[in-house]
Amino acid sequence: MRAIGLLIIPLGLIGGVVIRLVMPVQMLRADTLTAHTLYDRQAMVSVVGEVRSSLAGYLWAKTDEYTHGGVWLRPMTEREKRLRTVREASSADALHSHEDETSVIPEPKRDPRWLWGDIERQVKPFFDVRHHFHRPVREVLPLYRFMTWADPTFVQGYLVGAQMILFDNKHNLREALAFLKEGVHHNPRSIALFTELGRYTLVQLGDYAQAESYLRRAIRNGDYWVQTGNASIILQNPFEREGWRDAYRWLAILKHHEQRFDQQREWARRGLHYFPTDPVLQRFAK
Amino acid sequence: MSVSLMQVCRALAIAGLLETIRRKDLYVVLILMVLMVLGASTFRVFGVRGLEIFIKDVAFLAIGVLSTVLTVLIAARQLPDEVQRRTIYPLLARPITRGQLLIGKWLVAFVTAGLGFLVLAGSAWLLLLVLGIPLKPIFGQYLLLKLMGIGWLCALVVALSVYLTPAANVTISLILAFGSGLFNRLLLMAHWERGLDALWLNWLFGIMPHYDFFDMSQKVVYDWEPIAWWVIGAMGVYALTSGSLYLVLGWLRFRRQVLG
Repeated sequence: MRAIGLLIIPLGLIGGVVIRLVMPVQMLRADTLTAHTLYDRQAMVSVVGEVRSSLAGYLWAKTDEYTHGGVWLRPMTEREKRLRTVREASSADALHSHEDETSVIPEPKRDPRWLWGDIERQVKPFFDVRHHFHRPVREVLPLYRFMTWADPTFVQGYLVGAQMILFDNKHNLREALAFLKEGVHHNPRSIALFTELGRYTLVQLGDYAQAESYLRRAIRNGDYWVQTGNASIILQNPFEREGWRDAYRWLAILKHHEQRFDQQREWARRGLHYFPTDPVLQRFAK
Repeated sequence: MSVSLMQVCRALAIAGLLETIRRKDLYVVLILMVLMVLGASTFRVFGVRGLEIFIKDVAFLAIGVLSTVLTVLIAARQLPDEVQRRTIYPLLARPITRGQLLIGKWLVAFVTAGLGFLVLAGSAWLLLLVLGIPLKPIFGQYLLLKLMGIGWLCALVVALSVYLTPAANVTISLILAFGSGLFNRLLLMAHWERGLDALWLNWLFGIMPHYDFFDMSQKVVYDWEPIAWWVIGAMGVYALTSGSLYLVLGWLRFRRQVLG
């Protein structure tokens, strides 16, 4: 016991030194996609980077579990989608969309396990996933805070977190915007975050000028990735891909509202250059 | 002159507990408890408003993992340690059978691991209370079910210790314990996607370990209502029959085993 006590002091000192060395790495902003992909693809480049992105990813997965009170959902298999043999999850409160999702624990009707299935449905969280309600959003908000603290480059944490802040209370717009602005501070090259800021500013505040500024910044970021030859990589991230598309959409919508139809068509055509099959941009391009 | 099973078990249990204290195994639990206290203290610094679910989730995850690992490590070394230190010979020189010894060792492992789990769970409950996060009555059912699971797991590990080396035993036992949920999912998917017959599925389900069914922590974390008592009874029957079967299988090998 004495040895353990003596060991704690040097361990504490070493821990303090390590924390001081790690903090600059922890606060490093991903100014370039290169750094971003290195954190994601090469664990040995940054152990800290991998730890923080793994923690953020773990907390991201946990948000779904929290909102469903511990009930696990999974995507349907192709066979299940084709035959429709499972109960498809659906939300009664419009908090989440559950396209082609079902519960991990099967419902009694299609459970072949006799007593085992009944036991599992008792000892593990389980409910009928059709038209289910979700737990209060405020219970999951801390997770979004934690995951963005753990990994400030975790863009989807800021995006969805801001949505949840507003969903919890529609008067929390200032907090939602502050959360998004923190995200752009750490991710100045993100497309999706600027698009989201533009959307909130346009729809919630009605500030056309500011919204246009954000949306143009989102598009400039997209152009930056194209110029650096990394467009294909950024398009692999579904949030950034949709954010890029939505930036053009919202600009077209904004110009339409301002009745500047030439600019509306111009932005729509520019968007169609990267998203040629998008029906919204096609409509605004006419 | 033969000795009753009760006397053997009591004597072995006392000796085993004293040995555990001498080896300072439970000190591991105390150190983990201290770390939990320190971790909980940091939440007090930041305030816990809105973090109740997260704190409970982390606490019960820690309890589950630590108690499982502790159970496997304690149970896995009961017999091998006796053989290695050659203290098994004076034990067997007494008028006790190998079967009684096996059951006695299981009891030592169960009592020690169960005690460690209760200390961890009790500490977590107190810490949560101090943080203003009370637990619902389902927590009592969680404790009962988990203790059954620990007894079942001890039986499995003690039985495996007769067939495997300690390192292999620990590895396989941890895989069976932590992987039981995954095995069950794979069987179900095999039934739905590959047409595995329901009868075969239930056969395999009966054979596979179901340690995950002894864990109700998720229901405790999300404040679900207590479950029906027939479920606890059914799991108790499962733990008893399955655990006894494991011990019988272990005894079948142990009774003929040449020791040393």
